[in-house]
Amino acid sequence: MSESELPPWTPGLEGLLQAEREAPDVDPAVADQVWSQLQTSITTLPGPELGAPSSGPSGAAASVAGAQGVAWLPVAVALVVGGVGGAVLHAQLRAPVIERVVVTVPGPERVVTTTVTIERIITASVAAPRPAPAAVGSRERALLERARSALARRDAAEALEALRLAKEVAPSGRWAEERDALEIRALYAAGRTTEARAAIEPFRRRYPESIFRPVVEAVARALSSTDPKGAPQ
Amino acid sequence: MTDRPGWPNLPGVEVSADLHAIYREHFQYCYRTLRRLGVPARDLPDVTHDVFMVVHRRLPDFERGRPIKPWLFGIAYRVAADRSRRFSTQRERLEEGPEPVDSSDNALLRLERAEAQRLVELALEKLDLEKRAVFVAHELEGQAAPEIAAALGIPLNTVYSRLRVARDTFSKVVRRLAAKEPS
Repeated sequence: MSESELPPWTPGLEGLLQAEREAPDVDPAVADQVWSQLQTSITTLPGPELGAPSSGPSGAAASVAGAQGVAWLPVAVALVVGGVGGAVLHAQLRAPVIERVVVTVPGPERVVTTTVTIERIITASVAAPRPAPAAVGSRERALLERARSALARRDAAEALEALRLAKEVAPSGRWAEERDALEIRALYAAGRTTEARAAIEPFRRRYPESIFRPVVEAVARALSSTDPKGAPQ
Repeated sequence: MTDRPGWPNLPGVEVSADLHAIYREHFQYCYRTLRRLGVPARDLPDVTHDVFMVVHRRLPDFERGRPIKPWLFGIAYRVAADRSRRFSTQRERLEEGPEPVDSSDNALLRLERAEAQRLVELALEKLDLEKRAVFVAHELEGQAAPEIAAALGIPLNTVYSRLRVARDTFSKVVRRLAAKEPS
């Protein structure tokens, strides 16, 4: 087997991996703090044994001390300094949990998910689940990608048009949950705040454990900070 | 700090200067590698520190002609594996969460990206560390299979077999999460 024999990723999976590849760097201040701690650890350890082989990669200070076999006092000092420094650093770096959004892996109870359009939710007319053919699903997915792309370009009108077509193609499609979340976001981006606001609560009820909930909640927060009839800030 | 392929050109400098140069060039790489290997966020600074302690110790034995990233990856993998053996991470993971939400349009875009990253993270958690390491190195860091084999000290065929299984598992888990199907 060779790498060229590996099958290519689908666009959706490739998109996910690309998002992870482009994950932002950690704050440089963290790098500086770790470097300070590293310097402390290194300079408080004896030097000549640092190139000695080690049986394990972790517990670096202990491993190095073991290779030396003597000089217990410097080792003890190193461990104390390292421990205290690590504790201080740990306390400094641990970010406070301001808001916890739990992304829950869907369980068996959600095997059959009744998917509805926002308009149908508003009119309390719930549609029955309907399996979509593969071609329809593919078309639906492509339209959602188009909507995502439009939103990334801040083209809310184009996004809403793509989402409208997605609804036409598959009103109760496999990706309805994502479509509805995108629609709320697109409505907000288009300045149609009343419609966006009206769609949020039905979304929450319909998809209480949605992985798209953070996006919807962000819109809700944005709306709560604007005038009910005002444009998004 | 940016990552740079290959060994930094540092002839005639002291080990400490070498270490500093490597740290500056590859801190971010090591940090995100550890995160992708499942080290909880709160432990990442400490574990990254441990990785560079090992780098410091082993630097004199490093062959300068070799690419450094696979070497660093091998160290990060072993440190993460050692930590994994010593600690259960389940409880700590449950205490983590996405970054705080704010209300700007940019925040929405960031949230969407974070959502994708979270999905990747959930799928990676379904892989055992051996397969996860191969997957991360190949699919996220773009390392070639022979480099991965050398870094992890495993046969090339093992890299391919782990990669194949990991890709299959990752794909299935993501599809299941996206389709809201049962586990």
